Amino acid sequence: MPELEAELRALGATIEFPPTPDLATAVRRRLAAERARRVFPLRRVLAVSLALVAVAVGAVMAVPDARTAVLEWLGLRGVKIERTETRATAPARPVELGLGERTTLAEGPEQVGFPVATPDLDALGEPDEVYVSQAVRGGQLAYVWRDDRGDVELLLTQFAGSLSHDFIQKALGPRTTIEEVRVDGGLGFWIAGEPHDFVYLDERGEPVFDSFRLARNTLVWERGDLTLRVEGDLTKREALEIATAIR
Amino acid sequence: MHRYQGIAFRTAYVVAGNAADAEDAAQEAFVKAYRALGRFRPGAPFRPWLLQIVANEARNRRRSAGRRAALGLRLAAHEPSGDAAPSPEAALVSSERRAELLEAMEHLREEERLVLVYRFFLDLSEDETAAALGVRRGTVKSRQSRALARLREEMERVHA
Repeated sequence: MPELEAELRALGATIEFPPTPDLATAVRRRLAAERARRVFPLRRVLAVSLALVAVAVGAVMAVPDARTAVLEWLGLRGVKIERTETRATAPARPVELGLGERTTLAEGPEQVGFPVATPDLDALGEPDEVYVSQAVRGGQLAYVWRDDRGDVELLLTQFAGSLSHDFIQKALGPRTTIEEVRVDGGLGFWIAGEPHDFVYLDERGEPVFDSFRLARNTLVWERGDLTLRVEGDLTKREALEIATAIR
Repeated sequence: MHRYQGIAFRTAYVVAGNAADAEDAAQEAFVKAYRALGRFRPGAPFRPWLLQIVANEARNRRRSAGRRAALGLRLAAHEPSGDAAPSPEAALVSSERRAELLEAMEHLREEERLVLVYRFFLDLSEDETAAALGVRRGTVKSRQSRALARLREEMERVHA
């Protein structure tokens, strides 16, 4: 190495920088406070931290390399192991799609405890089946569209609780990617690949273990107090278009 | 776990010129990086991306404070302490010579000074330096050799 460069390195080694402050703690606190301000009643501090961890977990699992650096730095790694263990004790879901009791397009909305978002039937066609599940606190309403062969083409589910409140997601598998999106200004995630498991916090801040029924591309987003989810063989653009056809 | 904290803080420090602004800038950069994770290109190296955000934040703070760029670095009052000998590299350069070099660096233009600080004091790679300076990698090379030439002139002037 030329002399001057070597001298500069030597000089650099004896420069006295101020001690590095503890940034990680401050950053974690800020991120938690931001979310609390935005969406959380103050009493649900635990939920805040869980939700933070959860989003981190999703990102970690989705993109296992450099992108995890921030999360690692924030000390949010390692949680995924606990998550996975917890999930193993979750009750098995009911048969088939596990969407609950069959109901009708007219009655479904009255059987859940929230004002539902209604799909534009002109744009999407009438769903082939409608289900209501009370296994989800507040209820869950599901619309199923099937193709000519009777396979599920599109699945729309909705339940009370918004992503930024109560959402913990994890998208399993190395071929799964997750991307934050906006749907009508609401927070959402486009999850592509082979997502399987979906974990969120219900209205009381308790984790609920659920799965993506189809393990296909999924758009999940928040509208007011609702979380909506569209699953199917969709491109991101198609999914976003469908989302705008649900009011 | 905190492996990015030190480099982020120092990168901010050499731009902002004081510890309080550097801390503030580095903290803000991490928050922004976290929020922007979704836009991070998978597979891309993380450090250049982070340091770019850090350096931007630090520049903004200095600018809004209306301060002039100054290096604000000083030599350790004592050689790396304890019974440990100074590093072999450091031992080759007398403390007098180090002080002269540091003084000479104050006379460089900021863009020249920063490229040397990033490359030789903070040991950033060319890619990282390019990101922190907001220039292309080729520019880092040319700016670095120009800065070294200028520093050489400064040193000769001192000894003339």
